[in-house]
Amino acid sequence: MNELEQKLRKGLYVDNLRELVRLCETLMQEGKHRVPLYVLQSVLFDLLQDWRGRPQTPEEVRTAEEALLDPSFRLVESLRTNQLLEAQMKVLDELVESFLSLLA
Amino acid sequence: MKNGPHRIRLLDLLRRDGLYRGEVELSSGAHSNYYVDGKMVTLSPEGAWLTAQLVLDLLADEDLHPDAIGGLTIGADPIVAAVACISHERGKPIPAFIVRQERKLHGKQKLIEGPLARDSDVVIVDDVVTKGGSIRGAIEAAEDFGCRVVKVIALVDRLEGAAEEKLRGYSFTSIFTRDDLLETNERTRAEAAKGTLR
Repeated sequence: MNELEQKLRKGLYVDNLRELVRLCETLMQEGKHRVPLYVLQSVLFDLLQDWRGRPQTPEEVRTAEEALLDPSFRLVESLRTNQLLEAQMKVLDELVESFLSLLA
Repeated sequence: MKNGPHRIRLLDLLRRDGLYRGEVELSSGAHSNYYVDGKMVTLSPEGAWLTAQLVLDLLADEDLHPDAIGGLTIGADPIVAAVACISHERGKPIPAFIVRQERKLHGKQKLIEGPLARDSDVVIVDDVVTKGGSIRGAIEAAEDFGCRVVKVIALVDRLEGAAEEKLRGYSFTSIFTRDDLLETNERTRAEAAKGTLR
């Protein structure tokens, strides 16, 4: 979880999104928090798909980071501290809601 | 590369249709005040034809006879298709292949599409190279498949370290560099400002 948090702190840009997606995959294959990590990976991968092959404006990146980083950090924290499933689900719901708003 | 009429015309197209000014964030996270969209040129009929001619001329100049040419989708797709087509016209057909972008799940998925045989000598191409991460991914996919990469070609090298880092050890040539695209634009503007532009 520490590595995931560190990579999230580097920000959302294509190469880092690619690394984040791979790290989620690795953690899932190790059997850790598979369902929440699958959701986080899906959000990051969908963003990667959208951004790959074209440059982003600084404003576009800032908007995405404002929408996604805070719930992502809270999700990582909830996994690290083994919070109740209900609390994890609440953060996941916020993450997905933010991502859907971003795309709208 | 030799500066023949095909290269001059392709540079004109790149400057006119593929070069954008304005602050952008690149895939590496670095910021830039310009962006090259190679697809605006390589997907145009004239641009595709010219690109293929120049790639094939480059291979002929270096006496290379690859078994196939490929690269990472999407940037390489129009280039390798055009090269395959024109190579047939020249009587020395070179099949094309495409390397898929990685997917979420890393496992036994097929990354290479097209008529590529293992143990082939291949050329890897891309439209624009910055740090070289994308083109390096295509190289590794081809090598993992059992091929030898005999040449790496980019339409435009942004001169941000790809040749020295990710492509170190490979024979790499770019048809144009950032300087080809930008310097003349700067000169054109300066001349226009001075009223000396004809």
